[in-house]
Amino acid sequence: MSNPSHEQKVLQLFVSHQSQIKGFILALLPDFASAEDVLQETFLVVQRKASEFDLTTSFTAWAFRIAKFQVMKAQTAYRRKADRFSDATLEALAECAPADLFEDRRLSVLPACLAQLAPQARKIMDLFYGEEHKPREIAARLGWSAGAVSVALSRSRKMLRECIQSKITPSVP
Amino acid sequence: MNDEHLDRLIQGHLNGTLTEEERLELEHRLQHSAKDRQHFWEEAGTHALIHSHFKSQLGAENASGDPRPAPTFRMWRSRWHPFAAAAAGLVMGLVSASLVFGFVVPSLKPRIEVFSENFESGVQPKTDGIQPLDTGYWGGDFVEVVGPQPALRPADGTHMLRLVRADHEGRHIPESFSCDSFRLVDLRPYRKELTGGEAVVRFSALFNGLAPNGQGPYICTLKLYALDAALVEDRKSGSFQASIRKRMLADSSCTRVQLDGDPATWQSADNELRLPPETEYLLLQVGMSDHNLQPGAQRDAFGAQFVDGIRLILAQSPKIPLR
Repeated sequence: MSNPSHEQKVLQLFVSHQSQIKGFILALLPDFASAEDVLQETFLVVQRKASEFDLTTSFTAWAFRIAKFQVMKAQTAYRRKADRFSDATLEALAECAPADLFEDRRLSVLPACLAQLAPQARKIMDLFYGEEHKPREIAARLGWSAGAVSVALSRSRKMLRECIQSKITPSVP
Repeated sequence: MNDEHLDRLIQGHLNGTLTEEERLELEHRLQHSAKDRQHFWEEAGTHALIHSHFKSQLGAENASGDPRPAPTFRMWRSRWHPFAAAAAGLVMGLVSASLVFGFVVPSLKPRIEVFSENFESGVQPKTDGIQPLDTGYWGGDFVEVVGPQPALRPADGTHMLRLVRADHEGRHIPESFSCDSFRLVDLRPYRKELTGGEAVVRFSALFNGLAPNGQGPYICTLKLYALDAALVEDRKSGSFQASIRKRMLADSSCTRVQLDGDPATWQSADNELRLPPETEYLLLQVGMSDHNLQPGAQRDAFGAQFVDGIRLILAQSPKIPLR
């Protein structure tokens, strides 16, 4: 196989960093389906502008900038103001987005932490993250209130964050 | 203000449950405090991590043909995932035309009319909220085939489809604001056309309706899902009842066109999808959503919005060269 072209290298970088880019978009857009659409749009822009990228600079910083503009664009279609951040907030958040949004070692300990969740909490996580249902849809299914589902999601996420942290932080002898 | 309150705001954002006031409060804090932004990214990082885990788990389950237990309610508000195909091409070292797999192709030449619907047969769609398990009928939310209306005539012939409600028989969903009907189309007679990987379908429909002051705006929607026969059979037998998103081959972006509210004109909307060669069926989705943001607006009832002139064209279109 011949050496990859500049564009091919950029697209390979996109693939290898797609989790980070998706994570960046997901943080800014609460809707999973919209985030997926924005990832697609970001990919198209990266593909189109590949020649502009300097391979000696940070790919994630470049891709995050493109993704941020795609998020801004996507948000204009949002029905509720409560579902979108202003451009000023997006700018402020994007400026300090960590290049390594999540490390592989955090991902590797997540299954063990998920196993510690109570069955009902695990089910809610599954419906929210796996099936991508909104809290009110989960509430309708489980016969809960939407508020209770939201609280359960928040608590589970916090518990998982603490669990992951404890597992990757070396214990003091 | 303490961090517990900030936590609640961030979690509300990630859950998609913030009120407008809470959103403003969160924005204020994020714009003015570096510490709060750092906290945001910590929480958002966990959110992204969990989502990534569930998605990779889902991919593994799909690959092993081991579907999850069946959810029982509507799950068709989905989107397209062509990048996954492109990424697969890259991972396999195929940095080539496969990258454009699934993306919309602008210059499409009509070739084979696979399906058309003017609702002239008068056959009423099923309104049980279930995407059709077989070909030959429309199914989904409350819609009905009707004749000419006082202010509006069918685009062609004497019948058209009226969108009635954003829910279905046996299930009143007051918070729903989207009325959708689906149709399964068998593409197996066109297998030869699909094998080369250059087959693209164009799905189009005509929309019309009223949007009186204080109602709407109404957004007309079209979407396509490429399926294989195994999925269709498993849905029919009941052995697979989860969302088709879990086993579909590809889906298109969702076309969204705002209804102009002028009953004198039918508006055209269309949607395209490049078909994976193994596609055997297409699921068509046609619908409308009410985007009225007035407090207390009732958005689950339609009635004065219509669809007609649905067409599905299969054509060959070469992939866009990357260089």
